[in-house]
Amino acid sequence: MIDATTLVQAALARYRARQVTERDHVVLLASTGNYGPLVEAYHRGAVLAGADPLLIVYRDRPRFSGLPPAVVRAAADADVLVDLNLSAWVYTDSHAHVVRAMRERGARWVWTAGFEEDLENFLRTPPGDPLVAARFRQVKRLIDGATRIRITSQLGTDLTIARGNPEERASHPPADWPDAGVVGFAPPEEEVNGAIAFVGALRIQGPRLYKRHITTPIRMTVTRGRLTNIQATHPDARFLRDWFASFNDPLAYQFAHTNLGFDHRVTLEPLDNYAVHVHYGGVLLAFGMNYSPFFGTARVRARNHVDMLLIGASYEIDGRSILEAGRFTEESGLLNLPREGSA
Amino acid sequence: MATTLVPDLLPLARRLVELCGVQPGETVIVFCDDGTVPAWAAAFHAAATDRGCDATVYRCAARQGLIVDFPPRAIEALLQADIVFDLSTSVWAYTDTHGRLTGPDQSVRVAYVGGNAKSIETIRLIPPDPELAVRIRRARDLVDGVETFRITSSLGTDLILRRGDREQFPVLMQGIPVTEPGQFGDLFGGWVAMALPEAGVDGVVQYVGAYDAIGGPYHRVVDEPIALHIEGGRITRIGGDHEEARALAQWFRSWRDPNSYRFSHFNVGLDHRARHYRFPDTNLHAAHGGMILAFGSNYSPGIFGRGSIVRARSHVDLTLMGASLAIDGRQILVDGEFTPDSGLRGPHVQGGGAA
Repeated sequence: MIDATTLVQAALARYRARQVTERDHVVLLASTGNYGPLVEAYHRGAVLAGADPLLIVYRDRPRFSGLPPAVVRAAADADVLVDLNLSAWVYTDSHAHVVRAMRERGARWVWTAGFEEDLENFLRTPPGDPLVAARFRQVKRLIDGATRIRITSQLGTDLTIARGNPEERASHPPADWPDAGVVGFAPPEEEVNGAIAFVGALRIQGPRLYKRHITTPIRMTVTRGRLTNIQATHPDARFLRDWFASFNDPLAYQFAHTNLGFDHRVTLEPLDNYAVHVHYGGVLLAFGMNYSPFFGTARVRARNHVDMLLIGASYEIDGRSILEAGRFTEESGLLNLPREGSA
Repeated sequence: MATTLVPDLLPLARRLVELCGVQPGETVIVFCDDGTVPAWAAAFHAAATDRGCDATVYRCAARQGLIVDFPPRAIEALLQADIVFDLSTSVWAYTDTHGRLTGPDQSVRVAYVGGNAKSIETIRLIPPDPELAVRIRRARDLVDGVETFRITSSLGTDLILRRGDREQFPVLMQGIPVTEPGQFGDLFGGWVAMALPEAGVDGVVQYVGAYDAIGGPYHRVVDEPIALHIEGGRITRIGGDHEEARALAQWFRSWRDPNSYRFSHFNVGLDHRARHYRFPDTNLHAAHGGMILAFGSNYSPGIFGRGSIVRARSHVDLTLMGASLAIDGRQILVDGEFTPDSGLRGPHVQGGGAA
């Protein structure tokens, strides 16, 4: 059991990292499905940061279903938004509206953890880590300057992803969000091709959350941006094939986005949302919906979204090796520090 | 963040939500602060959800002090609702933000319930009552059209209150479910209230009764008269050589605000279930046959009308008990009991029994 003070202090650190003051209208969004102690910690943290926050708690709802109009308007008015249940509304019109409205006003987000599964990495990853911030700037620069990315692995992955125009296909998070530990982007829809031998963390984000570690490779083929084959050679592979098929929707197979994670502090064990996105040396391959201003002009509207964190992979940007077998290279400039407990 | 529902709170919340005519699909906001009993907010959320609404709970930090605003942008967010159940524990009546939420141009219904343990107990003891609602409306009709109220008592009270412009000073009915767009109301108890033109309030009150001064003396029962001399709507002298008189006088002085002495509003309590001497903790707004003479802030253009312009740092409701009230010369209350022909007697009297 983690005491409330520890959680409040961790939340307060995140407000301070975003320079939240009494001048900011802080809006916290939570659902009845959120983990209460974390909601309270963020609420209390906002007060301690000097703000006079508004906490809005809505009924828990299916993932990607959107929020009520009144809540959307309240969120759009925030100077600082603390979104404790992004999965309820990301990739929906309501979320897109708020993102655009906040960007127009120069409003900002506080990186959050809202569920019990998030606790461990929430406490492991206080903001302000200089290595993470340095890597963020470097990866952002490399990815936004890329033309083509190639992802390979000893197990047989060989996938090529076109970067597309970074003005249209914005990388996320934005440059003023350096504590994120990850940079991702949605490539042009038809410009992803090759083979994936997936091992790592499988996190089906929705419609229903499902997560597990995959240790036997799931072999897949991507052709012109869509999954065209999943070899059903073992139970996890068959499950994933059938899961995709259950939507009876070609867009379910659409490559959504790819991320490169570089936060050395996280543990992948809980398979929480943060770890799956920022795991050090992890390459995220996502399929399904990606409609979000976070990704610029990305416009895929499907009913599903799955994040597959490929571990032990290699990553080249325009022929330059950034990552080899899950370790950042010297030439990447990404401070390939030995990980705790590694040989 | 599922909050444990206390089983008997849910039926009560359901009843209140239903009485307020909440319809499926309406935007329902349960407004609370850090002092609100979490299970109470959860009960309203569940009750509204059960009615087919995608209800939400909005929570702010609790306010310290008296007549303190909530963040204006938080209150703006409430204006998106069809109905707000106000479960806050902060004293924010008569503020700009409360005035904004309940303003005359707003369509949102605002049902004040309160959110602390005492508020829950109050609404549990004296929820909306159909029979009482008839008398509340009758009282509204009685007092709305008069020109002059005269309050007297055997102790020497003799106070004249002139009604003034009905458009500027509308009569507020309390204890009536909030069903009409723009309506504000307390759901518990039953009383009528109105602000009045200050210049028309003159006389002396030999005050006995009870009062709660938020942020000051609380649960004070006054049995020995305190003399309140009122000229042109202002208390000019507080007399009485005893501790209760001194305590009240000191409370007024403590605000260091001349406006604290200004007349605020006048209430007539109608709830037969709220018997001051039987339930010392009963809500003093509702007490049957009690009259509130309030002083200090009354700014609330959507509630007490555009004539409610007093801005003060304080507000106190002094419930006068055992007094008499005449409206344009017609006696409707004698020694704390409504006259038979007033139509305002509660069933405890109408049904006979001890005088």
